[in-house]
Amino acid sequence: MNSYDFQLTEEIARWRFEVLVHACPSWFVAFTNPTAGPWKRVMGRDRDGKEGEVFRFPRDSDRPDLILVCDELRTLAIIEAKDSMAKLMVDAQITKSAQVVNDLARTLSGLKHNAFWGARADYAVCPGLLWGGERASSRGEREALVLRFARELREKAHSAVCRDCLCIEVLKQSGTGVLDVGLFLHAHATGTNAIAGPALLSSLRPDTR
Amino acid sequence: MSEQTTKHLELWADSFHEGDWAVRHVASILAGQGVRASVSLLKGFIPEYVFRGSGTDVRVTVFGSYRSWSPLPQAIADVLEWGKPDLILYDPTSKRIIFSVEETAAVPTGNQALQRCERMYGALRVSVPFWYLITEFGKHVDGGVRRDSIWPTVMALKLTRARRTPCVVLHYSDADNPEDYGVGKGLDALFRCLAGVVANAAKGLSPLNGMEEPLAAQFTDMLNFVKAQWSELVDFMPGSDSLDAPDLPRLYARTAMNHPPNADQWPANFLIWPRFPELPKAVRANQKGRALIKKDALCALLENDITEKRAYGLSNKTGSRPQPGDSIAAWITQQKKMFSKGVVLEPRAEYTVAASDFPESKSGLFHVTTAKNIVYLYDRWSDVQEAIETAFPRLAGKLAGMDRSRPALVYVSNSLKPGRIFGDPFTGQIAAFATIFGRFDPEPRYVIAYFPHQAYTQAVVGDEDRSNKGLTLMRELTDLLLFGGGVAVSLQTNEVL
Repeated sequence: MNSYDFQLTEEIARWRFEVLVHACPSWFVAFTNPTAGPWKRVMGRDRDGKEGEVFRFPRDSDRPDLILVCDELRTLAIIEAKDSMAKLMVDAQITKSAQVVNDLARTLSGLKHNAFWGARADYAVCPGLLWGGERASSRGEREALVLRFARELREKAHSAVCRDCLCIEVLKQSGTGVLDVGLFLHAHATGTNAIAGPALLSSLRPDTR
Repeated sequence: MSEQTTKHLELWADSFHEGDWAVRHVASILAGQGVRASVSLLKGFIPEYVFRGSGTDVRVTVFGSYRSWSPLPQAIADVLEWGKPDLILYDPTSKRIIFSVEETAAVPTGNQALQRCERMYGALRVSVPFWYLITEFGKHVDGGVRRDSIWPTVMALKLTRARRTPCVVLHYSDADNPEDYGVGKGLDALFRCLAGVVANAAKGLSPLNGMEEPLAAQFTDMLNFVKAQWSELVDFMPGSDSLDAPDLPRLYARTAMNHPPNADQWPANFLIWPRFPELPKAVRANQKGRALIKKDALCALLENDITEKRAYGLSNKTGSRPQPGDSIAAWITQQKKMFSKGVVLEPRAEYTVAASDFPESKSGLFHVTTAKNIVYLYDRWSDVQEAIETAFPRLAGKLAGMDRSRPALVYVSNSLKPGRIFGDPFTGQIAAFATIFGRFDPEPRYVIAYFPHQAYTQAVVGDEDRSNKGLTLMRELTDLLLFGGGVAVSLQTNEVL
């Protein structure tokens, strides 16, 4: 291979995590937000595993960066991604991220009659934040981020949104450029506790299965 | 197998999703031909496919998000200056692009219809084969279903012939399944071509070897699409009677493979917009200048030239998209500010556009549209020159040096928002109209772009700003730009007149 270096962008960080999700048999990617292509719709699966459209975002509407589904744990993850933790901390961004989670939780809970969504309308929703970096974050930094996120989530909170926030850190190794994924769950004060945190983390670790 | 027997290709993409999606489709097609594919992830995220059949192994590495990588191969950087195609297949050994692909999920309508055409031009100008995958039927915001415009397809036909390189528009979906990639021939046709290139690489053949048949089929579909749709959009299509000529798709395919037939094998004047006297009688009779929506001295003269049969327009089916009054006021303020930063002009020029010039629409917004035509095809540059000098006397005597008898195209963009004319969809419109209406025809037309509401200073930039896609394109495809206040700019000579 030619020797190309890369800058860890939001697109690359998100893609790295998606690669991990694809290797986890109990999860599937229902929506991802690259700039173009046939990925602009939320897709579901019917009882036979056939894929179909569940929801289409209106033009110019705010949308998350990833929606993941785990039927085994009856859980959805709605994830906002940025190329750095600092960018997720910006006031306007964190407000938007929380708003998108609540709005989408509401929308998806109303799709019980969609053949490709059905019972997933009743799943718990795990909010998530994904970022890239070259230095591992500290627990304190993650907790500060989740605390701010939780404050915003509390506004107009939807009952399906759970109290655990999934934090995904994509780290670029210096020298090799290998991307590692760190997964963390941080609880905040409000929300349903319908999701068992350890089970969720375990289901997203393909190498431990 | 050793490194020496492996052919390496790189698939560069706007996103990893698109790149990986494309190679997986190729793998599925090649599997039907007995080629096995294996995939690994370099650095934990870079997909690398190895195709193993009876010939040399072919390794395809996917790189998503072009600008994230360095050093970006020069051939790719050159194409990106004209806009980002979604996929580029690159041979790192020869350092050449094998082909590029643009794909879009929605039907662009109205003035958005040509928004990707500058990418088509950017690839073909350096003889890179280009496939444009677009939905034929799309959902509009009003809930209805729209069909794709003919212009990207006509442009692709003209570029194929001019550059002797494949430029193909492939459609997917149907009226009952709009925007559905799984319906129609387009998606499969695209990936069969890509699979063919990979198979050729394995056999050490040139990339487009054996592509004449599939290309002929693709050109058949393109010509049929134009035949079915042109009368919905324009009053006249030169060579429309030949669109279903049995040999025509093969002529295009051979030309695309750089084996062009003799000139006399082509239908006469096919897709060449003629001078006024050669128009069909009924079309000539219908050519009448129309009243403007918003007043403009030059557009009034252009419309009058249609009545006087010195020029013609394409259709009576264009509309107006009014804008909010506060936006118009803010944009005028910004334009004036930019204009005032320009050089001292002799004779003096003034930016006189005022909010009160824009008539109110029924909905309480304000029309920015001047003429309903945005393209005027003139038989002679001298008539355009006369109209310009009459509308803007300060330019009298400054436009000499161009061939007075050469035909010309005048393109009008009424956009008022600063900077818009250098981005989507206007760059695509200029690329498409310049190509379609004659810049590369045997008797080429001058291309004049008129921006009545824009300040000329946006086109006069220092060396550090020359990477602007719109300016790059206009520098190559226009002969003269005209701005508000009657200031002309030649980008080739960087002269302000």
